[in-house]
Amino acid sequence: MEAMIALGLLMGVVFGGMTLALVTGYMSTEKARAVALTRRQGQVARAAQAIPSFFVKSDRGERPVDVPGFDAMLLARLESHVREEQALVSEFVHYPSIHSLYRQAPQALHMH
Amino acid sequence: MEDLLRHVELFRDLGGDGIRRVLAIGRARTLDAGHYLFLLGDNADELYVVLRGTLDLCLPIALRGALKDITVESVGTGQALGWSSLVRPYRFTLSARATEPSEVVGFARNDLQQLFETQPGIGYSVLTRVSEVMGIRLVTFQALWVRELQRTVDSEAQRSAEGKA
Repeated sequence: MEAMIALGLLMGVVFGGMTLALVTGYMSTEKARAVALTRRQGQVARAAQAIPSFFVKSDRGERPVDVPGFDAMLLARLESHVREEQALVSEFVHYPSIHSLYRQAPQALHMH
Repeated sequence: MEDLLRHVELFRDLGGDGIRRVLAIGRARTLDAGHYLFLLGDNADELYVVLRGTLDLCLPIALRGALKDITVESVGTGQALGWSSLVRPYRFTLSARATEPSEVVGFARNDLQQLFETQPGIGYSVLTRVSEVMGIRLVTFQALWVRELQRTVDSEAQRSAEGKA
């Protein structure tokens, strides 16, 4: 009888511990995911800042323009630049040469 | 759909029988404008062909603390996308977003691989076209990248010259 009670207590402790471990593991996994997502967004931003920029850098220390539609306008200009560049390198893809690699755009993209 | 697939670049060299065998394993789906077909980093389990509409292939840009998708290529009717489904590690390297209501047909990698094993001629033809698409993409982005490097070099050289002046 006492052995049965002892066995029952032992099983309770084992299963209770396993459940606690599962719950703890789940919570830590979710927390780790949330931290990883936040870190990834920060990493993308920091990595992007570390990339040498083709935009002309302003030395005047001005804050970015906070105008409605600025982001959309900037994205549109970036996409236009990408399309233009792809058109310029299309010849290089089929006829690679230094000349076809460095064909110039009619108007370079600059931000001041 | 069979007529459309005949003009798809990936299936250009397939005969009628080959087209029908490919079509048999296809599964159509529709997308509303603005909806993503797949995201960068997703498991690449299907190769897609656009039946109608347009999809933009995008890469993320961090803009003032927020990630925005910038279009680097657009694919329209009859064009294929998702070749990453046939190349390890089978993960998409771009996101694909419908710019208008669109319809695509997806071919599961497992079904394609099984088809290629039982019909090696089809496999050879399709994978040859896939390698061409990959080659064009690779060379294009190499060229884009080195042009940006050159701009950076020119910019730094100019800055250095101005600093010394």
